[in-house]
Amino acid sequence: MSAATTPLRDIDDAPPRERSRPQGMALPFDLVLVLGVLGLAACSLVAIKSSTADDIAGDPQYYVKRQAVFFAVGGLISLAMIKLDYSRLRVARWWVFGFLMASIFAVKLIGTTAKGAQRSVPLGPFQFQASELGKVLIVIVLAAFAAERGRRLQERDTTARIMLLALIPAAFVMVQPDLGSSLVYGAIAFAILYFAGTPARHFLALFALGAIAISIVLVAAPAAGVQVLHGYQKERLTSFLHPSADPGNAGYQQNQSLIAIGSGQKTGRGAHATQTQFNFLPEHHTDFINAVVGERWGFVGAALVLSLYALLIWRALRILTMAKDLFGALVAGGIVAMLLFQVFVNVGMTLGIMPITGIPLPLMSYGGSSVISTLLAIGLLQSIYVQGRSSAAMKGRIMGH
Amino acid sequence: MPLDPANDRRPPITPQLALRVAGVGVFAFVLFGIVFFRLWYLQVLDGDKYLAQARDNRVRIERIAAPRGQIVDASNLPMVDNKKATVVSLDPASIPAPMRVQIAAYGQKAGARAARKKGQQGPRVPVPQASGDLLLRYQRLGNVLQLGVKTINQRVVDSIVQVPYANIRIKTGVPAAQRDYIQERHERFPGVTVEQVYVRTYPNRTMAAQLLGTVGQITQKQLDAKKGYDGAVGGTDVGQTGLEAQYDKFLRGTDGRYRIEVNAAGERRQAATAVQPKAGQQLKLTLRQDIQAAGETALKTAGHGLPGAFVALNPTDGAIYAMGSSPSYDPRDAAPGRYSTNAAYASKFLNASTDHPLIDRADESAYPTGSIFKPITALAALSAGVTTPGQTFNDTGCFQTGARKQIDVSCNTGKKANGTINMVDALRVSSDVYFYNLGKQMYLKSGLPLQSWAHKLGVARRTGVDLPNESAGSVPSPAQVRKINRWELACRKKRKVASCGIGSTGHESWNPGDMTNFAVGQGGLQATPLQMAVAYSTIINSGRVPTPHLGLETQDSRGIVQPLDFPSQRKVTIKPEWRQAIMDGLYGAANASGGTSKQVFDSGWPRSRFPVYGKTGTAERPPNGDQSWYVAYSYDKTNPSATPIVVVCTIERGGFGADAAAPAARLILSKWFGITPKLVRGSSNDR
Repeated sequence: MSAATTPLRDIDDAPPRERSRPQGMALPFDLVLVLGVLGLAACSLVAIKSSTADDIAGDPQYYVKRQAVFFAVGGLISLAMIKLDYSRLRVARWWVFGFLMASIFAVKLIGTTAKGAQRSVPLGPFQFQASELGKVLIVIVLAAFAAERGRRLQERDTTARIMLLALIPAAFVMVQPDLGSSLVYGAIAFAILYFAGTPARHFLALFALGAIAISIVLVAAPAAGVQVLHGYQKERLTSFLHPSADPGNAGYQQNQSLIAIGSGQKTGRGAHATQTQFNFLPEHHTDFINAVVGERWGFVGAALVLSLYALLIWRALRILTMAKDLFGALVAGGIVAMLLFQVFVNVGMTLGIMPITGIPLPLMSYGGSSVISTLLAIGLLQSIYVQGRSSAAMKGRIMGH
Repeated sequence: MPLDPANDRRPPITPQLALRVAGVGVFAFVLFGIVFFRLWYLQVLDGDKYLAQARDNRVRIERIAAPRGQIVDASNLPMVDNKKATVVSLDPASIPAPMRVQIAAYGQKAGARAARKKGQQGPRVPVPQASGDLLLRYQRLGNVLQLGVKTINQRVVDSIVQVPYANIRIKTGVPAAQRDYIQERHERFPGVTVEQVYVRTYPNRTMAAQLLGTVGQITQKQLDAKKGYDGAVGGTDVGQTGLEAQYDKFLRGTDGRYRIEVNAAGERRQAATAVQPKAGQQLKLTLRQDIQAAGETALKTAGHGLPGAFVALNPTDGAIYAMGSSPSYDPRDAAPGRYSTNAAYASKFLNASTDHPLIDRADESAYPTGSIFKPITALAALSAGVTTPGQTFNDTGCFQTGARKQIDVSCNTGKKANGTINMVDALRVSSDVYFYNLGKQMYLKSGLPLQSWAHKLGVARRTGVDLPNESAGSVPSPAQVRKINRWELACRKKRKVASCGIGSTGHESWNPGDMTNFAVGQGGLQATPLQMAVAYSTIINSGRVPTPHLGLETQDSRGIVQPLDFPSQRKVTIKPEWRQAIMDGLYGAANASGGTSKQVFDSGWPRSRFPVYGKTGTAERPPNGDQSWYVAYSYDKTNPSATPIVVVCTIERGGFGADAAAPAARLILSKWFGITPKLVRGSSNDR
């Protein structure tokens, strides 16, 4: 018997704490997770309010109002998700994948161009950014596919298919161009393979392939006259290594971000924060929101926000372990990867230890697509939590009797 | 085993999954650890540094230009004044970076090309042209300012090449309508600023242009040098030539400053403390506009419009009353930005056909002086003991300078024999033969007495006049001959040619002929008109060497006057009898019969009240024609100490001294003493 068919173990082997808790006191969702999300939402609104007061003449509340709407909408979706039987998504995985690809193509066909990139489709007064929702969708698709092949996870074929499934949308997103999102897709695919129990040698092979691909993209293809990455993308990917070499151009944002965060010192500059307020740091309400926090509220503020993310990751990992089935566990695992990767890359970018890739800070950065997609993922986590707990409780009850 | 959906509903937490979850937990922990550590490092350990940078970011210093000081003449008549003008300029930061890179590359290439020899320069470097959005911006700006896109592009390129970070001046003296149009549509003209600046005006146009000099934006070199340009930032106007450069630190004043808090787009958030601009000090000159004007006119009329120079100064203290060089120019035209291209500028100021108006021939051009050098030879001979004032010599018209009978013979003009003459006579008739003899005798003396006397009297040394770029000139000497030999041989070796033309053979020796030529102001002698004025003043002063100067005093905005100090005063020992002999000779030359310039002062000059001491000179300057020289010294007998004046005139290719330079000197003296001016040319063909 291969390792794939590890003997089934009863859930009772591990003594879950929940079961010892009286049923009546349990809430129908993970309260800590909700508190963490609410905390981040509050931080996001305060940071956006303080940094964008001068951005739109005549409407100092423009961004904060819209962000509040996004949180409200996302919150409702999240609540709806709690009641959803997420297993249905597993059945509908090809529909989900179809929708994902259709939305990416829709962007290509009818999308609007902003700052040189075609990333979104206009939906009324809002811009729907398909690649953001795609992050959650790809978690569902990959998790469902892996769960479907639950007994063949050790096969090379499975690993290859999962990677292919992730790389197709990633490639299309990359040419939008949205390098950041495609990197997130890759991270999600790796995480799902990892939690599904793909053997280490597959990872090694993938890393080797990745290394070859990167060297082709960065070295061989330019030598042959084919540019895969845009010049600015390459510059951004490398300029974080020496931000002050060219403070006027490629390194400008990073340099200004460092100045903003560094000048915050321990407790921040409060109302005297000039870097973000006077627009020295562009995109301060979106990708560089962490710099706003760092400048205005200093180490204290930034540490608080980071702690909230740590809380989120911890709860997501905990929910992963509580999932009633492999699909749920993999979805939770994918969401953990999605959050962790985005948080680390974005925060690292503002701190000058990661390249600038245009990845938003989930739940903090201004932007409806990102906020709503992340809240959708949080809703999924809640759903997994609720169902995992109820199934465990049921089993417990059965066993108990 | 058939796949049964229900079958994979296995309990989720296997040991393997638990292990992997734990792995991710550790991984996440490490990532958060890195971020926290980095945050701590940036904000707590390095925070001060970034706080300082953030403050720097925010504050911009905006300059309020200080008006430069006026330059006035001795009677407070303005020579250089200011007027307010509107300037439209372009912030170089608003030019796209690739274009700036292109321009910098062009500057380097064009500079390298200009550094190569003519004929080997290779093709002209194409000037980078604006395109796309930038071209559109130029067009929009050009439409308003009535300038062509090419002109704007050229100004941008020139400015970025010269001073990369200074504002690019597109147009000075913009009419109010254009100014308002741009200011009202600020957002349509990105990077364009409209400001009030002071520009120089020259009420007398070309008068004394070389002395006054030009003003221009500080160059990168000057910015880097720092010295003398304290507090000047990119875009400041500083004196570039002449008195404007010499007295820049007085004239420039201190710019005022606004400290302005700005946002990243450079828009003003709030203006902070202002430092009021401090106007530059007024510079008062010893120059007299009336004498200057008369001198420039005299040079033109007497000098047939040929290039030339004149100096009129007080021999006692070196105060320069007038000093001019012809041709002249309007300093306004020479200011940067007047000409759209370097070629147009060169055709007006630099090419050979222009006769080089930018050069101040009075102190920057060294020439052979011809016979006006003879008093110096006389002094040297007296001091070396080869002759005495009374000792006579038989001038037969020609003189054997060396051993070879045919070649080494030099003669007076027309081989005119002056008979038995002493020093006074020799100066009066300007006998070459007499001075050849002195030269040859001094050749035999050790210690090169003639060279050392020339040097003592200020030839081949800078006079110390308050002008930049003064030329030192040179005197012929054995050392100079050796030097020329060395240059010639080195040049031949380097360029692999038979002769470079620096020295004829490359193996010349110091011969009696060199000394005899030098004795009459020829050969290797190169002296400026100003140096000759100083040399004569020294003789007149019985040995006290004055420092010629134009500056008199400065006056700041509160009216406090600060005299400028010119410590002179080297002393040279000139025995009274030596001086007497020379002065007699000079007096004879201008007054007695046979005197070379007697005719010039014959008709209508009140000799009894204004005695003239003068010496003509006719310098051979092949391949050019003879250069006409004249030195005159005079004073009012009724008040000798108040009005002494030494005038030196020279006219390139002007012929005999009595024909061009002496009449010009008479016209200047007439103005000085208030005598009716009269152009009288002498016919003396003596050198």
